[in-house]
Amino acid sequence: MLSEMIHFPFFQRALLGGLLVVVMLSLLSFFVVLRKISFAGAGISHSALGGVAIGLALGVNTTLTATLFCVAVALAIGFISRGGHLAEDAAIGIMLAGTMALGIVLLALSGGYASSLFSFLFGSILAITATDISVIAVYCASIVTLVLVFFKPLVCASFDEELAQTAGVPVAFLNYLLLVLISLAIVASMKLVGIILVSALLVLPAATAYQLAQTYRKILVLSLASGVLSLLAGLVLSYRFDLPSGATIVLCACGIFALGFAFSPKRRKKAQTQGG
Amino acid sequence: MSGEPMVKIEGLWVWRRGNLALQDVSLEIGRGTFVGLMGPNGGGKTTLLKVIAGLIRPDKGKVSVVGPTRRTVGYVPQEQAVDPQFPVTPEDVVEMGLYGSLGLVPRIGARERSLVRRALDHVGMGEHAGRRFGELSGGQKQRIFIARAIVGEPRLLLLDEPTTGVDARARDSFYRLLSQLRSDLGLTVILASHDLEVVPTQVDEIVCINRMVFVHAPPEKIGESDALSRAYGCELEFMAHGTYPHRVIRRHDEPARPEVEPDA
Repeated sequence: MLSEMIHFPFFQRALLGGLLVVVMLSLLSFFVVLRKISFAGAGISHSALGGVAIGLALGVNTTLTATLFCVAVALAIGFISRGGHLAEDAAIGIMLAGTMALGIVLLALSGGYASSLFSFLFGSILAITATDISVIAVYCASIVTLVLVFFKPLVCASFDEELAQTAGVPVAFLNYLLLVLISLAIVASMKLVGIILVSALLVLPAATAYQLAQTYRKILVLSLASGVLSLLAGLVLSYRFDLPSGATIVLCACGIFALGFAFSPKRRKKAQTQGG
Repeated sequence: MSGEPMVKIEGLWVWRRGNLALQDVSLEIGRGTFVGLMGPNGGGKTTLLKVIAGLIRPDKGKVSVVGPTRRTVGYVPQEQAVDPQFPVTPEDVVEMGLYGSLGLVPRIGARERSLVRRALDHVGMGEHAGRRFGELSGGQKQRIFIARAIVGEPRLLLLDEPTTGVDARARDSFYRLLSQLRSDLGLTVILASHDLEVVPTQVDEIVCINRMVFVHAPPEKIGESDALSRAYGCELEFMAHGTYPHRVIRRHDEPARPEVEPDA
């Protein structure tokens, strides 16, 4: 099936774009799960709708406005959670609802409410263009490079902020950097999987890997493998059964997570220990 | 106090979340001294350690530590609120203690690996270097955090409640390790603790604080005033204890805040 599909140019573009997105999101999902900030990921991804709608309303590039808007929301979440001005989940919940509502109102005012909304919410991986792939490639290269450069300090700050601070690690800078990278990855991925489903791919790859591995090196490898497998399986199944691609990819990622959870050596070991 | 001060604190005032945590604290800690920082819950011990470690900025007053703070101070915080499932090895944890001194993009070479190995050996955890951190016992984790604190070759080691929740055997082993580290590395140590029985038997000096300093003296001179009782807000007395050539303090009842004017 895959060998047959690979001859179609639209599928080649979907595969290439999908791989770039999966690499970015799987790498970042490692930190999202490690730091337990999946709700922040969901908040930033939903706010992308506000950014896109501003672009449409002003008649400027939506990727640019979505990027600026998501980065601003990410920095605001970081500032609020660090400053202790408001509980982090409350701040994210307010921003998620407020920015999404802004997006819906602006889309309705600009006249393209139903079609635009569905496309941004759920994405259309099979409709991406070569230009889309170039943009995603630039985002992906920047994100992967920055994560790899700051990988060790990011792990250190995720392990224990106070200890990292005592050792002289710039914890605040790293926290903001991670949130900005997450928002860039969300903007780059939204055309493919949509802003609703992108937050799932920011969690599922690493959550699956955590079930199966115990060192961060293995978790990273398994996270990437799980992301790529979800993409391939999702694309094939969506083509074969004429299903929405983004949602099918996420469902495959959920299925792989369920398998990982069922066969998790960690979970079985814990169950054995508790059972005496 | 012995020699030139390692830590000098002058007129320190700190407010935390609107409450006065430290009031006009002035202290000098000599190089190589082992200081027990004692006082009731909420008395400002942790705040004082964090100010010395550079984690909290004083609202008023001055704190100076000899040398550049990041490289001079090793800090082992209270209650390691670390996720036991965090996917790191003890070797990774100790290596993290070097990142601050290696810049924003730390590169771990042969020298750094050797420092990590040496720190792990120093605390007797060399053979556990590759295990999963979450598998270690509480005492072993504590040793790893000490290794992490000393890997950057600090001059001053700050320990916050290091023996809370460990059994008597692990506690004795901890103090033996600390004594060995002090003699091997020439460390100045400030240890915050509630342990009124054991700490006075181990340290060179006791600083008793409850928002402000009530007494700073060698353990054998502590009983000469009622400062300790005033700091704890209850009656304390010294008594002879076993065959050790020292005295211990027996606490009578619940600690209370001293009567002090917050804005004097």
